Amino acid sequence: MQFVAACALVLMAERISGGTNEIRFNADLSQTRHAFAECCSLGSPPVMEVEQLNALMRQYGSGDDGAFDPLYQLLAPRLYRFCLRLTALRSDADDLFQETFLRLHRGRATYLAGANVLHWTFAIARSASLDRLRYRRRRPEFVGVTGDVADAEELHAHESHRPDLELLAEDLIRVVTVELRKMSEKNRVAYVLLREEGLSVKEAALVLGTTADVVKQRVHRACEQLRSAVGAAGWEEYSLGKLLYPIRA
Amino acid sequence: LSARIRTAIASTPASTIGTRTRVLAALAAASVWCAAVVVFASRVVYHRYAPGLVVSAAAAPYKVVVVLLLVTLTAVATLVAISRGRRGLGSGAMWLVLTSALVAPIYAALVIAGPAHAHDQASIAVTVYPWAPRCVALSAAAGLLVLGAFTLALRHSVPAGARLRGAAVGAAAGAWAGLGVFVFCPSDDLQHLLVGHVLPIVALTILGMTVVPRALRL
Repeated sequence: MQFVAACALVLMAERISGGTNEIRFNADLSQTRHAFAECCSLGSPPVMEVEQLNALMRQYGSGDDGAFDPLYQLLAPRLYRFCLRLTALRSDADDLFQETFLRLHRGRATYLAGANVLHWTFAIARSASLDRLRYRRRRPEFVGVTGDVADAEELHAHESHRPDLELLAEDLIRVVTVELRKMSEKNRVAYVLLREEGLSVKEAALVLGTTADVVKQRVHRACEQLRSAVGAAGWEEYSLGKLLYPIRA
Repeated sequence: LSARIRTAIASTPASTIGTRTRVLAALAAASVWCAAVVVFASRVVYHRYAPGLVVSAAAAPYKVVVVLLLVTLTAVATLVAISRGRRGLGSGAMWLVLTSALVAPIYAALVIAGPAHAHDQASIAVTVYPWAPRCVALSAAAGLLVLGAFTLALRHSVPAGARLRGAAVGAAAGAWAGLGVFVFCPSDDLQHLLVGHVLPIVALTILGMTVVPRALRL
């Protein structure tokens, strides 16, 4: 959940085409800066890791079942986080995670050697998620439990945090998480891919099967929605140079 | 969760035939089938091999250009539809949209405009119907098999944009059918050309957009 707060802060410094990830509450609360900056650096995995993943997937795709375990170890954390973002409940995320791995296994021979496994897997997860949504189309949409956003084991406060700041961060996390769950699937996935997973606009467009302009538009809408929600929750934008930061009103 | 996944995977069969192999097989099957259908139908109906290419001497150069352009259109549509792209996620959405939307109009423009169908009618003594039942049947026979072959080749291998990809595959199949029917049919009649030659391409594109995605999705 740390990255959610970071993303909420980043959204205030929103620049769809990129920009700094430096985060601050405001000048008086600068000790939180380091922790949130760390959170924001979750974007792209190291190049070595990506290459290792690609090599493992190539092995697995050619029929080497022994490559599955290391592949799973490397792929699972980020994929599971992405599945959590695509679904409202942890149990749904578990099912989606399993379904994604099953599809990856089923289509392993179709993996193009050299392609980014992570992006390919995100596309598979999103496809599986859409299938689940289609299946549930006639059922009332469940937007998630709005009170349990801050799972205790996932809120790792930085050592320099003060309790009052943690409360503020927790509040921001709650607001952003709830709003992400309310958001349309298209906008949410575009936002997650760009802001949380660190994909470029072009990469996200390929993963989503649409154009770069559409992705930019969706992310812009998502950011506007988050900005409105954060504002409605009592946060104000604090301008420092070209950047905007959220501060508690 | 990981134990559950391992168990599920152990009991799930996975094909080991790569997409490249399947695509090459599909292309070979499509070429052979289309050629066979056109030759067979031409022999049965018109008692010659390529009645659509029989033209007066004055129209021959233009006809050659049109045939080359149709072959190019078919090749480009097929390439866009079945390409896996540099990142393994297929052609870009814009290419897929353009292919789906433009194959039928371009084909119509090439076939209907100009003197391409200034046929040597005297040498073809067979009635050509305005509603083109023979051309529709040939388009269906050629196009549906090509659509099926491409769908099988890409089955469970498209993780993103399956609907757009399905439409592009349908348009590509339509282009193959259109090329076949162009070689087969000597008609100059506008209604015949629209109903028997262009409409099947539109129908195959719609079929690809509505039916094929379910099979393509990974």
